[in-house]
Amino acid sequence: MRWLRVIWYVLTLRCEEADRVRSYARKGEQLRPGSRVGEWLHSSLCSNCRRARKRLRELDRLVAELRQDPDAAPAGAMPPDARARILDAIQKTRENDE
Amino acid sequence: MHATDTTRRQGAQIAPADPGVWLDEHGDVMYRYALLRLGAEDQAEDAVQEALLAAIGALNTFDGRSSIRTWLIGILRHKVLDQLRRRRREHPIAEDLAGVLDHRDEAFRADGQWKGRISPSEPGPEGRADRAELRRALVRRIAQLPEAMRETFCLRELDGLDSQSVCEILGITPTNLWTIIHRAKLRLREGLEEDGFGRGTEPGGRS
Repeated sequence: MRWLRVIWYVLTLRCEEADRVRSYARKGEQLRPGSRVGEWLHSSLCSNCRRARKRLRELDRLVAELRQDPDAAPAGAMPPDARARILDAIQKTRENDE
Repeated sequence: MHATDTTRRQGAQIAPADPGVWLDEHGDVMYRYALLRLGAEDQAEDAVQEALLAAIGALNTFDGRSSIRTWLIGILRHKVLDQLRRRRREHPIAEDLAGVLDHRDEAFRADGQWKGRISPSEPGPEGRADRAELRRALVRRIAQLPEAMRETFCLRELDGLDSQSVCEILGITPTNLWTIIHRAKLRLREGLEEDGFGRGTEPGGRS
């Protein structure tokens, strides 16, 4: 009976569940054979899931590039009043230091 | 003479010794780094100030092997983590997480199929942004994530902290961590599609 349940799971796997299985696989978790086969079968039939998988890989590459670039941040400058306040704090610290 | 004056002077030969110059040259980058991770301007400003003051006291640890900016960002990173720890001690993440974890993935319909057609990976003419542009778009989208999601994503994916550390800092379980990261990636992917990779409006599902 158990294998019937596995076959049912494999055949009825939806995109959302397949996506979850891919996510688990990416974090290095051991997948049950049914999940692995189900995801593979689903993705071979579902173009959206194949594309989603590809997109996720692209996103991971992009995030890895960002990780190498600590300067990457949204555009914007520190407000002038904050800059003045920090400069003041720096000067006070240096005076105390001396 | 201060006990560390000599080493400071040695450090100062390598690094510009004037923290005012650090603020001029690297202040904006530091501020943006902190703002992306903390989301609040006042907290970002505080983190930058704390980092610069800490840098003054730690100039003797600067060995010139990295750029001054990298060194300052390294110090700032710790200050940002301190801020996050403080924030999450005062305001446990549980409430924020409710909004993130209680809802099903917005990318899917009630029947578990994708909501829309995911366009082929090859970007269209409007989406052929260069990598730098794409990175900027991604950063903008990260900044727009809900607070708990953004914090978790930045710590784990951008700052590369191990899962255990992220869970300790934010007070979340490993299961929650991976759910949040996964949902953040779904949102980011959708956001990038909206920004240029385009996404069709045909119904989703097997094809």
